[in-house]
Amino acid sequence: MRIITSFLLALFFTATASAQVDAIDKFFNQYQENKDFTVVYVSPKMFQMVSKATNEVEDKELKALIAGIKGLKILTTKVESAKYYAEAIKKLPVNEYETLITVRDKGQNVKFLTKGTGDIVNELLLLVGGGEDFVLMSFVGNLDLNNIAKLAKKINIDGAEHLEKIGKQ
Amino acid sequence: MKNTIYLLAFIATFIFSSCNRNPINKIFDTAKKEDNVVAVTLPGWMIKKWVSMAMKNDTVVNDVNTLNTIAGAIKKVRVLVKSHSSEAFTADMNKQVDNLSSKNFDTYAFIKSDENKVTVYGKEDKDKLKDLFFYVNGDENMAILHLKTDISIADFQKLNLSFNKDKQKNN
Repeated sequence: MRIITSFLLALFFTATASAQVDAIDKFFNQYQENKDFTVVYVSPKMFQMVSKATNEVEDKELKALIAGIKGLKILTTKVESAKYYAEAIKKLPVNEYETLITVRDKGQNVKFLTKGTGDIVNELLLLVGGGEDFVLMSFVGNLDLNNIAKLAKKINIDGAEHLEKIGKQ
Repeated sequence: MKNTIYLLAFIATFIFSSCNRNPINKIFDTAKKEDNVVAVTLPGWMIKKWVSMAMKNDTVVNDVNTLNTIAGAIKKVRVLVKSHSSEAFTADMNKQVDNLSSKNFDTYAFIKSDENKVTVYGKEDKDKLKDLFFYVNGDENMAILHLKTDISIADFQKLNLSFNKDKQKNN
């Protein structure tokens, strides 16, 4: 009986985790071909390579962070940002994440959602909308929040500047 | 009887080699048959020479010798640019490029902005990067870049890339 209960629980958790990833993937796939959107995907392989090539002394923390990233997806647009933000909030399982930061300034909403415990999180979701841009950024891996802001300063991608807000917390 | 066996062995070898044809070569061969195509192949020694000249004053890479080692591991670079692509050609190319995932190629990165898409594929074998393939697909234009390499992961580690710009400036 205990084995069956454990099995069912494992099955339930696997199905739940899979549904969350599916929801994000589905949202990305929905707009991937839309010409108004910019899409960036960086695979774990790429992060592994960059991590290996990164200087261990000068960028020790950054190297560790990059090594922990299992994937990065970014979806941005400058068109109807409020509409897409509302749609993302509705379609993504945001209630299953812990809200790390919420900012509302001049009509622009910024939400940082995480999964995990303490400073190390397994998933970081950034949602921006209502202002000029809509940004959906998804980091998966073993992420040290203290180092995410440092990474934000190094990557020159639209929307990455919002990540610096984590460092200010 | 002996001749029949030789003939069958020849046919089998031909079929086997056709099935295992390098998918990148197939992509280049397909594109080369089209009009409005410019294709260039550069040998490894030329790349090494250029990289060596270009990186003399580079500040990101700490060890120029390591970079030369990596450049030396590039066996060949092929570039192909096609303008005025038809929808049928684009669809065929997309299909062939998508198919790389089933031929032991990993998708390293994908970027789409406006009408332009850039996909980077890599193939590794025994801790060595053997192929690096870039597929740039625009509205009516397309470009493919293939680096045939033999770069070991250990060589990447020796690169010691530094993102510490402030420190570099001070130095």
